[in-house]
Amino acid sequence: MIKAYWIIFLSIILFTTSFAQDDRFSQLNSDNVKGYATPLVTTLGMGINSGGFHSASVAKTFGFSISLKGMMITVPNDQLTFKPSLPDGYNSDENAPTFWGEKGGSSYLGPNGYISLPGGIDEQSIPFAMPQVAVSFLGTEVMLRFIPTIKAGDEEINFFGLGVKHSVSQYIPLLPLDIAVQGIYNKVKFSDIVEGTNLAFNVHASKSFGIIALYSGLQYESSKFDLNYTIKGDPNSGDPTLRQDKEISAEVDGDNNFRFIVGGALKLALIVINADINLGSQTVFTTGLSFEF
Amino acid sequence: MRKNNKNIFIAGFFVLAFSFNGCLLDAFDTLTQELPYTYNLSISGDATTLESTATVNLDNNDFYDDNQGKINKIELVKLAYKTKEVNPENLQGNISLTIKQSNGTVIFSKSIPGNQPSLYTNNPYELSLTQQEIQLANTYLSNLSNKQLIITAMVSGLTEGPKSLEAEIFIVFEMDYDL
Repeated sequence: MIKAYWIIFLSIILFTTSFAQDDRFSQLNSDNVKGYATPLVTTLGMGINSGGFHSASVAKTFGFSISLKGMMITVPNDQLTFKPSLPDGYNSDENAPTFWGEKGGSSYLGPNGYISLPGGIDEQSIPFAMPQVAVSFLGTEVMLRFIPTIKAGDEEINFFGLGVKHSVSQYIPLLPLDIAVQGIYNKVKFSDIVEGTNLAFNVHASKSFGIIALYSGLQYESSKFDLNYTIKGDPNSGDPTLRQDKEISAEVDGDNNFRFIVGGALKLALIVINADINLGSQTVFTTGLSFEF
Repeated sequence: MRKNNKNIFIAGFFVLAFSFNGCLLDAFDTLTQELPYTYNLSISGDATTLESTATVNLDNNDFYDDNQGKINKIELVKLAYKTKEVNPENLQGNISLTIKQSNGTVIFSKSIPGNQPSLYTNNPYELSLTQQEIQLANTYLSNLSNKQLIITAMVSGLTEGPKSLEAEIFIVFEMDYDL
């Protein structure tokens, strides 16, 4: 049970603690950290903002569900590198790896010597998992995602998410399918090092055919992470901003803005198994196992 | 039957999640970084051939110093030359760089094209290292107790008379270490 609990939350812990790996970020000035970390923030946003629904049907009396959502996020090739910002006299024709890019770093030669940027972790398929609970009443559903405070060394990780969904189709008589709108807010915090806020608004529809339901939706979303880290000053660096120890606070926005979702669900009495694909800045394959009534 | 299907699905989900997270966790175990080093060389005198030597100490970098004992591999990846100051400005001479082990054994020697050091004032020249040269340096560095390299800059073909050259040598090492 402890292992299962760990696996569920591993993704969130993994991503947030990756920010705390100072050595990885300590060669990045406040401009280049955005290019380097944006694909990571996008992945976090794509993961956290996934799995919000598998049906547009909302109980008119009372409903309850507890779900486990698993995701596989694929990072496209164009998010594996970025064009670094370099001082005058340096040529940035060659791109540098982002957080998901190849492991080897990169160095640029100019009048003040080499400027080195860190390598990535060389991964394009990122797993993510998250539990959620939902309660519905009179055509409105409230969804909760929550991780109690987890200690990771001297640091603490918190994750909290809240979603509200409302049935629109209940106001439209004889409509052959269910339609709902939903808003989701998620916050993840890793001590004072990382604080991320994710917002999503969607409209989705579903249609049941016996034990099978098909669903689809359009979602607008945003992800923003505040990142605090320390530049480890290197007097040999060609970049004057990297020569002395310095505290950096950077705000990194994800590239996730819109996504299209299409999927299906299999309802077996109180158990629902669903799978969908999310097409956006990155592609997310989501699967879920829910107990609901 | 339904119960079995459910159990298989749950088991499959966790196996899959664990496998992928296992791969991902491996990626966080190590970090590869390029570390820049800069060395100043000062050459002066009246002779027709002059040289100056600097010792590269890998310890002279906080990333290296902080992670000693966790380093899996360190390799030489880039080498560049820059003229900081030359006197007289139109000085002519052939510049060569020699990289040696700490005991003086030559690893490789490279020439800088053109015979005017002023060509490389504010415009560093990156030496094109062959695979064999890189391999020779990295064979030496693969013994992690070898933390020093010696760089000698030699200027030959000079005319007699007083002259001086201040140069910078830029080196990049790639270090792979455990987090």
